[in-house]
Amino acid sequence: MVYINSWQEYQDAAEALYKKSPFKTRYCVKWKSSEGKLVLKITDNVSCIKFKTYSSIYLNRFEALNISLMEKMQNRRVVQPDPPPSELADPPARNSPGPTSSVTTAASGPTSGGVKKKKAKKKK
Amino acid sequence: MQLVDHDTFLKQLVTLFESSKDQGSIWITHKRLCYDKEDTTMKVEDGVEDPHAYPCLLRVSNGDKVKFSTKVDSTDLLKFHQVYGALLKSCMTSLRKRDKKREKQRAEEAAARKKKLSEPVVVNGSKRGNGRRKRQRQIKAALKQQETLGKIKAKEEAKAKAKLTSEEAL
Repeated sequence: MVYINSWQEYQDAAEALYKKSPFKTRYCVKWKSSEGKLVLKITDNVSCIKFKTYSSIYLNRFEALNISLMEKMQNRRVVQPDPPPSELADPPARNSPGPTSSVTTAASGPTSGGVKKKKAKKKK
Repeated sequence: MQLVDHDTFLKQLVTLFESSKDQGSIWITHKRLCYDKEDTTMKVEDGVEDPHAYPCLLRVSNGDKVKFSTKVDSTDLLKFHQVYGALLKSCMTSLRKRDKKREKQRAEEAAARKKKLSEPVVVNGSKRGNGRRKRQRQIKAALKQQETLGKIKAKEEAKAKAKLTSEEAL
């Protein structure tokens, strides 16, 4: 029927189906906790492929497939034209030192305190 | 249908998972969002790479009354997915763990079945008198074996044909 038994086959079929019609395809996940059943369905309203499992060994692969399909859905351009690096570097540089500096100061606080303590102990 | 932001979405998803632990199901649907308050762009010319980046729509329902959704932009995908993936993995706990015993058992049964098919069924015994029933059973088993072998062959041929046609299409 629409169920596929091997994960690799299901993954390949899902990605192929998405490539074929990226606008009409939807990827649905059904989780039934009482039964411990996970069903994945991908359909473009013309054909439908499903995968059913009760075992937890597929969780990691399921997550990988999730992100792969979501990336395809978003269709973001991986290679973006690089604006002058100075412009790029500065805003993230400005952003990152903000939160990271607070983190580092917070982290260095206890660590430096520990270092001080160690030094004090050593001196003693 | 509530359209919420990511944090609310994830929180609601957690509560939904917990509330339907013993009863009910959860449906999550992912789709590309091409509706931009204007006409939906549903057609792309073949062979031309689509330069647009679309947000992704995630809809969640419990089949009954709870329905909510969220939009994920391409910039937020990685961050969102880290939390989302971890959430899913932590909530789907009632899946069976890797049962090596059962897997071994299944593998052994499959191997035994294959072996049975490969060995021909010997039909011996008397046609009349003692042992007639046994002989009838052997004949039946032999016929069944022929049928299953024929079916397997037909399946394999159909598969090979399908592969060829798909390769030709490509």
